[in-house]
Order: sequence, then structure tokens, then C-alpha cells
Amino acid sequence: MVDEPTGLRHKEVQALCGFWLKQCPEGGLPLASDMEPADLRRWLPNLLIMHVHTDGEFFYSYYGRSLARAFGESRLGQTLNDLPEAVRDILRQEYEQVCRQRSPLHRVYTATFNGVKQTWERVVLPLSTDGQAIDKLLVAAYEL
Amino acid sequence: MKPSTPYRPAYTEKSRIATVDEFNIWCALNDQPFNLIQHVWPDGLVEWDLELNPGTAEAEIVYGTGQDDGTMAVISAFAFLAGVEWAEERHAAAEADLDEDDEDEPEPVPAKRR
Repeated sequence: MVDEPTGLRHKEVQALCGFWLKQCPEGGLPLASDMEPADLRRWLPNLLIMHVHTDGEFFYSYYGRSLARAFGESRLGQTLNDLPEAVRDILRQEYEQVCRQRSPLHRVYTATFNGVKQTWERVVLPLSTDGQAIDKLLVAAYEL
Repeated sequence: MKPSTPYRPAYTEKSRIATVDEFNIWCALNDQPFNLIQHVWPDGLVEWDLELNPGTAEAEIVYGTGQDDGTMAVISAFAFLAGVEWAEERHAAAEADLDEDDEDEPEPVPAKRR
């Protein structure tokens, strides 16, 4: 049984978590191939998909347009190693924790992007290809 | 060779995919290493192209859809993927047949000395 993350603030993050929970089969994780892009339509600009490689590396296989605009570029195809060290370490810990605990993770953070201080809320939701191994992470980020 | 007939590509299930972004996330969710990107020709003409291994050093355009409209580009891209899928299935069937033929072949018998 997967618990819904608590303390979610942005209504779109709340809605996405609710959608993800509905996709969870009894005692399992949603299959990536069962995710209908049309059902994800409202969140697409703020979504990214991290592919979990068998060697433990994470790379971006989808990068939403709003995120590319907000952070200055699309990171599609890049790995976490391509990120600045400080950011890389935080994200790697976060993604590894989701894979280990097999449950969503949510965080609110404030940082300066393009000279402007911003507060964002992000959630990381695990997905599977075979129902067991976590090989994709569905990530959403919204500015508060 | 035993080709599967009628051939039925996976994309027929995905008729609700209408936009380039929906196609691109479908690829990510289904381990397809493709992405539709917009290409602007020197004369200003816009075309959606299908890129393989997007964002990596190995990225390359493998198919120009010839479409400037996103929905039409998605249809073209799925048709291209269906062709790739079909070719892979044919190739796998041909290889399986070759393996079967090898099994049917009798072991060579050494010639007897006189």
C-alpha cells in the first residue's frame, strides 16, 4: 500500500499525486506503459521523466516546456552527472531514496534562478516497466 | 519465414495522442529513444523531425515528417515507428527461421577411411 505524500501545497501537484495513486495496482506501482499521455495533458509542461539506467545512473528522457523555459534550457538526454555538483548530489539522493523506498517524495525549495529568487514544489513518483523494478521516475515541479 | 499476419503495430492503441508533447512523453514512457523536434529550414519553412537519442552526443535526425502541423507530424512519426517495428519483427522472424533450419540440418559425418 502506497501512502499519499502529505503537506502538498500546489493544487496541480496534489492532482497529479491523486492521479498517480489511482494508477497504482493493489500493492504495486503503476506501469509506465499504462500511463496515457492524454491523461497527463494538464501537467505535461511541468513534467519530466527520469530514466533509471541499470547501472544506477539517471537521465532525462522527457523535459517539459515550462521547466525548460524556467531553468533556461531543456536537459533532455542529459544525465545527473551533467548537472552542477551541488544540485546533482541533492537530486541523486532524492531519486535513490524513491527507488529504495518505492514511494513518492515531495519537497519545497527556494533558490535563485536567472537572478530571481523563486520557491518551487516538486514531487517524484516511481514508475515500473514490469511491476517490480523501478526504472522511471515521473517528476513534477511547480512554482509556488 | 513466418511473418505475423495481419501486422498490428503498438501505436494503434495510442489514438488519443494528439500533440507533439504527448508523443514525446509516450516515447519516454515506452522506452522509445525518439523525440519530435521542430526544424527551421534556411528559407524559413518549419518541419517536425524525428530525432534518435535526443539530447545526447549520438543524437541524429532519422526521419523528416514533412509536416509543419504538430498533429500531422505525430501521425507521420507513429507511421515511421510502425515501419521500424515491422522491420524488426520481420528480422526476428527471419533469424528464428535460420535457427530452425540449422537445427534440422543433420550433423556432418566424418568420411570412413578405406
